[in-house]
Amino acid sequence: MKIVTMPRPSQRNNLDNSMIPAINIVFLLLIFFMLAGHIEAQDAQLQIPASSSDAELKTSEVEIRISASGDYTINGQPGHQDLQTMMGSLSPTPDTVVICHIHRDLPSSALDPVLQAVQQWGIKTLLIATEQR
Amino acid sequence: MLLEVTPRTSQSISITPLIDVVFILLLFFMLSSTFSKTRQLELEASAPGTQSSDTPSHNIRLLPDNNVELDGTLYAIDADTFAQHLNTMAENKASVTLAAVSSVRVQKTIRLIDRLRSVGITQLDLSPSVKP
Repeated sequence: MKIVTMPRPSQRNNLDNSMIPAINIVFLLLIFFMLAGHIEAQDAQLQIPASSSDAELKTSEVEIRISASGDYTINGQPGHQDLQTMMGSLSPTPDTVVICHIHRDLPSSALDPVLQAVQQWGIKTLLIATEQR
Repeated sequence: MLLEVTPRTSQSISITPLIDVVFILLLFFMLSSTFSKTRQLELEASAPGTQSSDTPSHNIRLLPDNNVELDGTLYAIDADTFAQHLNTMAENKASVTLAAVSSVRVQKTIRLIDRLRSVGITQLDLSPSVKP
């Protein structure tokens, strides 16, 4: 007598069934990370300082980014001229909101051109982007 | 001609490729998503001399090596006497002009601003950095 072992059709189904709880958990984790986290460009050249401020970041007309090398961009435009001149070309008013992303390890003097420009144009609101501790 | 139409067996979707894709998505979201949100710290950068004269005003200079100079007197930044002065200033609703020595890191300046805010000093002015 020749015995041929046939794969039991239910074996595959059993495997699938036992994996369903695992898949449920993986799906839950996936949904958690998709909803709770947000994807942000990580820039090693621009790590903003930490503070305990919990005010959400406003949107602003003028965004200045000063990276670890001291180079800055205004609204994405690399600064070739000095900051005052570049801000002047945006014709700011006292109500213009200026936000500054500055690398945390830069010396305080890196913030001077921003402060001087803000003073020169009489801008009332200067925001420093920080991350919550 | 006799055509034999065989009933099509419904093919169930195999679960293994599905899990592969879900795992890859999970890894992507776990590694790339951040939970820290960007916050803001509001600074007043008014021109010098615009402060009202009826509130007492003080000058704080942030020096390197965790020292501060309050109206010309040197303190360690975590000294109790400095904390007491800050509390008194907050009670008197004093306005503070803060200037950091140019070599002090931005993070330290922000930390001091943070501390002044948490004590209750709201009239805070940041001046451009000074030479040591």
